[in-house]
Amino acid sequence: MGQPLVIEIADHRGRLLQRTRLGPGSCTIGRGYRNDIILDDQYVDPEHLEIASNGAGDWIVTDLGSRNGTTVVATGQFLRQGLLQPGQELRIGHTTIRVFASDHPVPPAQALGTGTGLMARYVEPKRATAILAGALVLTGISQYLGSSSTQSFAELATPALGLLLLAALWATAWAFTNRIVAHRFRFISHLAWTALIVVGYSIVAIGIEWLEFLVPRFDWSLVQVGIGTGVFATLLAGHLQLVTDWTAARQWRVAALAAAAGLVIVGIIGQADWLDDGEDTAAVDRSPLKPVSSRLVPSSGPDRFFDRAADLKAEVDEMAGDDDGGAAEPAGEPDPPDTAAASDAPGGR
Amino acid sequence: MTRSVALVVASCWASALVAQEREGGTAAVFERFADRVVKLQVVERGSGAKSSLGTGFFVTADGRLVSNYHVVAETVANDRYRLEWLDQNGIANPARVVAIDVVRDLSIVATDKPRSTFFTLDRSALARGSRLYSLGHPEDLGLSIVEGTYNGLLEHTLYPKIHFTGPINPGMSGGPSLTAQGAVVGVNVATAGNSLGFLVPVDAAIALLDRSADDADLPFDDLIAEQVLANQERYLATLFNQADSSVTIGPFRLPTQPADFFRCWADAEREDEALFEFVDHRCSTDDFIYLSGSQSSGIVSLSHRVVISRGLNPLRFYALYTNQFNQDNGLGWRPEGDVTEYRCRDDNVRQDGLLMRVSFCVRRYRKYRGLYDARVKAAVLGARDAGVVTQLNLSGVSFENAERLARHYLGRIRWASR
Repeated sequence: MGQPLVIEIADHRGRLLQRTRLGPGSCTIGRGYRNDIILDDQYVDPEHLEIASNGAGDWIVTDLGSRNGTTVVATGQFLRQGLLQPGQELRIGHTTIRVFASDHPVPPAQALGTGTGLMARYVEPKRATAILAGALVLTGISQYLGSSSTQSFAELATPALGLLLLAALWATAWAFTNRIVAHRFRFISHLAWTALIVVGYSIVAIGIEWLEFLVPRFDWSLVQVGIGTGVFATLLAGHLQLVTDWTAARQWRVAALAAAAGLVIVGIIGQADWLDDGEDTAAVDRSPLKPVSSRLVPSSGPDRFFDRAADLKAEVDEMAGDDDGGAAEPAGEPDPPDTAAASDAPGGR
Repeated sequence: MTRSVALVVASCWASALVAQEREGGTAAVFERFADRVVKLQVVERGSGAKSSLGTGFFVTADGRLVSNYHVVAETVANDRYRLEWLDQNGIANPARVVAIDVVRDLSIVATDKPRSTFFTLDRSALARGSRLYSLGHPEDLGLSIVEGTYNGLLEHTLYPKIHFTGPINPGMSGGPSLTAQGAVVGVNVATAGNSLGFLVPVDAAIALLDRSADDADLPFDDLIAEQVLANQERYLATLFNQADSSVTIGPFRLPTQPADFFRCWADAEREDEALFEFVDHRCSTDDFIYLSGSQSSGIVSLSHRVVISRGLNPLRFYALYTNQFNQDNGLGWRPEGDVTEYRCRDDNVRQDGLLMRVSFCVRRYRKYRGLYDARVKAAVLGARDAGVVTQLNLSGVSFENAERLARHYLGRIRWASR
């Protein structure tokens, strides 16, 4: 059963070169200039392939004795002659030929002036300016709430402007990337997207602070790392959407991979000894306190608190190397001795 | 400066005659007893170089010396160091530690060289103002004698110490302070500068010498932990026992002066244009037990910082309060080989209607089983314009004592008026 077919020619990177509807008679494909479809691929013969109608409405594809042959992508087998059907994919040289039926559906047209994705629409310049202004105001408010002295306008505005400057540097890098890859600039969009993510993350961070205050027994640090990585991936995915024509799935995949790689790098650097400034035998306190009526705060009694604290003994004993009640592990490197010629009395105050 | 020098010169002239007479006495004391006092030095085995020195004095016919624990501590704690004593001719001989009392900072050192002359230790009552002579090796400058006066026992200490008014200097640690007749009164242990010296009373040395035969077999690390733990039971039991030892600061009633041997200080920060004020109150023991160069026990301190808003809205006030709570963590750094990392429990704790954010942290001394540093810190919650960050720090205590005192401490925090 014959039907009109469309073939799609793509280069070795998958980029679409052309679509052609197969007309009556035959159609030849090759590097030579006498072909109906002329390919710029040095691994393709001057006369490589012929597609011809057999009169019954079917299309027959024939390799014209090419040097590198014609491969069916799905099976990996060479094809000398065969029936051409929608959905098929052939490879000649480094070129891919995909076959579609002429009733293959396409999405409706987008309105003029919009970007390629959802995100790009949200950060078009008019909205982007509003987002930026909102971010600056919120940063100013947060500076005010975090301070405990009378603040001048300059003091309130400085962190906002500092943040703006950093965001602008980041957005500039993306805008230049965009210029190189897709010949668009979209600086304002990149900047607004960055600002939106920063504001979003700040709001989430405030939420986590409240959770840390209300539910201190839970270790929120992993949640923080997870959310931080997720937010960074979202930031990257948004920028990729502004820069590339990839599918959403691919943009997210790449962004998630980059964020995970970033997490690994930060993790490795965090483990490095040269960052270990000896603070580890001191304790770091990170408890947020919040103004809430004390009746609304979940709490435990002192008995319960110290019951749970009793586990600390086992924890630090294990760190000291007593697990079975056996002899304590010998101490690590001893102190270098005092270089003073005389030993000081301990109370030398 | 010029004036004080002039005064010293004038008084020298005035008392020249008396001094001359006394110097004769000092010279005689030095002449009689100098050969019983020796230099002790700690030598690093690898390089053969001395890393620290102190003084010791003979107390038995079989050549045992009394010195401070802190003079020999390095050789007890670490195989990399050995102990030597130098005889009158400056020849180094091996010595070994046979007994220690870390609480009183004393050690007994065996030289295995029989002696014909040595100090016989005996308890004797002394009047305040009695003249004493202190012998030792200040700053490795050779055996020296200094004169001073006996000023009785110190108050505010974890264990008895004699207040000696005389220039004891580093290196004299472990040397004897004696009367002109040669009765040892105490062992030089510490100085606070400007002729403020401290001695360990001789009765502690007598007690240690008596039991020095038994102690030699024990592993010293366990012995140290054992001595410290036994001692703390004594002094920690007395903390927070006085019912009236509370202080009212702003809207809070807070514990203070846990025992007589604490000193307390207070201060406030109130600036005219500031939107808040701080009132600080802190108490600390004056004294501690030396364990090693970087470890000690017996330091107990508490501090309160009351934070009061003068027009900050609650969100801003709590941002300030959070900073204050997290800023001064009072947990000092110590070398990783000495202590473990801290482990903490944080929670909101409600006690008698008072809600507090509490953080309780401990770390263990790696070598001394059963000894921990601990800190409990709390911030009282619920008021929109006032708060207090309060903490109790304990060094070198048992876990049980740390927990008991932390609990007790939290229980003493109250609203003064509400």
